Order: sequence, then structure tokens, then C-alpha cells
Amino acid sequence: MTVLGLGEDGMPYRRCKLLAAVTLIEVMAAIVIITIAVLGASGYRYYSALDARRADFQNAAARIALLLSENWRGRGYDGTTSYDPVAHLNSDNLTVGDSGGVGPDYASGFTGLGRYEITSTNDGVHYWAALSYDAGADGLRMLNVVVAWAQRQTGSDDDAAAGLDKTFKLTTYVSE
Amino acid sequence: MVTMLIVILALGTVIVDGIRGWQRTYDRVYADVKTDGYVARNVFDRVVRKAGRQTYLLAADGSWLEVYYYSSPSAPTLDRYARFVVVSGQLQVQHGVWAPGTATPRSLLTTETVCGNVSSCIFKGDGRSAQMELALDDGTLSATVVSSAVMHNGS
Repeated sequence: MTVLGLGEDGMPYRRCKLLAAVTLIEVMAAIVIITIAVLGASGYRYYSALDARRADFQNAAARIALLLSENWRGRGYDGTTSYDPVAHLNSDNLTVGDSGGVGPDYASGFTGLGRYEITSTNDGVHYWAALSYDAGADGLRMLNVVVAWAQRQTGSDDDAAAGLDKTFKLTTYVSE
Repeated sequence: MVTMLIVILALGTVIVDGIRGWQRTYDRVYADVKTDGYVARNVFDRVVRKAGRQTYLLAADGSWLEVYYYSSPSAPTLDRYARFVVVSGQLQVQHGVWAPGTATPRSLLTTETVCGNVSSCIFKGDGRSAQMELALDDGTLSATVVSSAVMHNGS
């Protein structure tokens, strides 16, 4: 910075004085550093949101598996083979329909009861369930529920059904 | 100077948007509506699972559900009731003494408030299981809890 002063002879002169300041290069460097930090934070935020959404899917799938399992078990031993979730669980909040054979595999060695498409009305996410049972020991039946969903939601039912890449499995027992 | 101002404003916008997005994500996981849903499901499971399978009472319109349970392992009969009901937007469980065949078959003991922000709640019964369809809405976020539990006790 230049300061205009007067000499002993009364003549003006310029005197250089060093003061604290930031140069353009320093400012640009700071901006670059902040930009990198913001971009890094954006990535962190993106993966946090993505993982939270995935956790939502898995949470809902686990709840649906438990819902089917408990409802099926509630029919009792004799009602195992005639259980129909379409008739028992369809509601305003949850749409349950026959998937026409689309869905995850039945548990190995179990007798298939049916495959169903389940839609959560609240968020519109689709799940597919396969219900199967095994006679097991006398007076005891194993009920198996497999709920599958597409972690990469595409918006199309057909695409989603083809891309089922995650499953939640639950086995419970019902006695005579 | 103008360039710097534009860059700083752009960075500020990105940072503010990031904070808002983070808040939205946080609310989706930890908002009262979400945590209340977990609590409601657990309470419903806990109460219904200890109930007797012999009988339960359900409102014709599904607005309330009453199940019965033993007060202690030594109780000879089902002597307590638990009624799930929505009162002023709150899901409540009313516990009381149940003495069927007497002049006062129900005597309220305690009322447990499970959660608030209830926009609708429908109960169903099916075989030995009971279902609850609970919709929560606090004006900004909504959540739906669909739960089923089997009544275990009894022969």
C-alpha cells in the first residue's frame, strides 16, 4: 500500500508500507479448497441418503415378512395350506395381489403356497413374496416367507420384478 | 471481485442445500412419526403376543381391539384386558381388570399412551392373529405401520 507523506523539505513522497492482506492467488486457493470440501461433503450426503433409502426398503421388507408370517401362523395348523394373503391382508395401506408366478424362489424342499406382489401404498415401493411350507415333524409345520425387492428402483414393475436383488427370509413354526 | 462473489454465493447455496438435504434425511429416519411407528409396532406385538387365544373383541368398524391376558402365571383365568383405541389423535392401550359375568366386567387400571399424530388406525382379527394398520402424520411427514401378531397364551 502506498502512503503519501511530506518530507523534511516539505516535498511530498510515496512511502511503501506493508500491511496484512490476501492476494488473489490466496483467495483462489481458498476457494479451490472449499470447493473440494463441499464436493466431498456432497458425496458423503449422497451415500448417506442412498443408504438410508436402502435401509428403508429392508426395514419395510422385514416388516412385510413378519406380517405375512404372523398372519399365516395365526390361521393355525389346519389353515396352513389354505392361507390366502390376498383375502386377508389387502387394505388401503397395503395392496396384496397374486404375482402370476413372478417372485423369489420357494425355500428348498418346501411346498409352494403362492407368490404375491405387495405394494406399500405410502411410498409405492413394490415387493414380491414367496410363501412355502414343510410338514416337518408330526404336528409341526414350518412356514417360510421370502420377501424380495429391487434395490435399484426403476419405476417399472416389469423391470423391478426382473431385477430382484435383495431378499429377506423368515421361517416360523405352527403346531397342531 | 465480482467473480469471487459469484463463486462464494454458489458455494454458500451448495452448503445450505446440503444442510437442508441432510436434515431431510435425518428426519426420514429419526422424526417422531418414524420412531412412534416403531414404538407402536413393538407395543402392539408385546400386548397381543401375551394375550389369550381363546377370545378377543373387535369393533365392527375396526376402530378398537380388545384382547385378554393373565395378570400372573398363577392366574387361573384370563383376568386382564387391554384395549387399543385412538383418542384425540393418540393411540392408547387401556389396561384393566376383566371379570366377565359380573356387574362391572371392566375396571380400568392404567392407560398407556403409545404415540401421537395418528391420522387413522384400523384393527382386524384373523384366526388367532390380530392386525393393526396405523397411519401417522405430523403435517410434514407421514408413515404407515402395518403389523400382525399372534395371540399365544391358552390351550
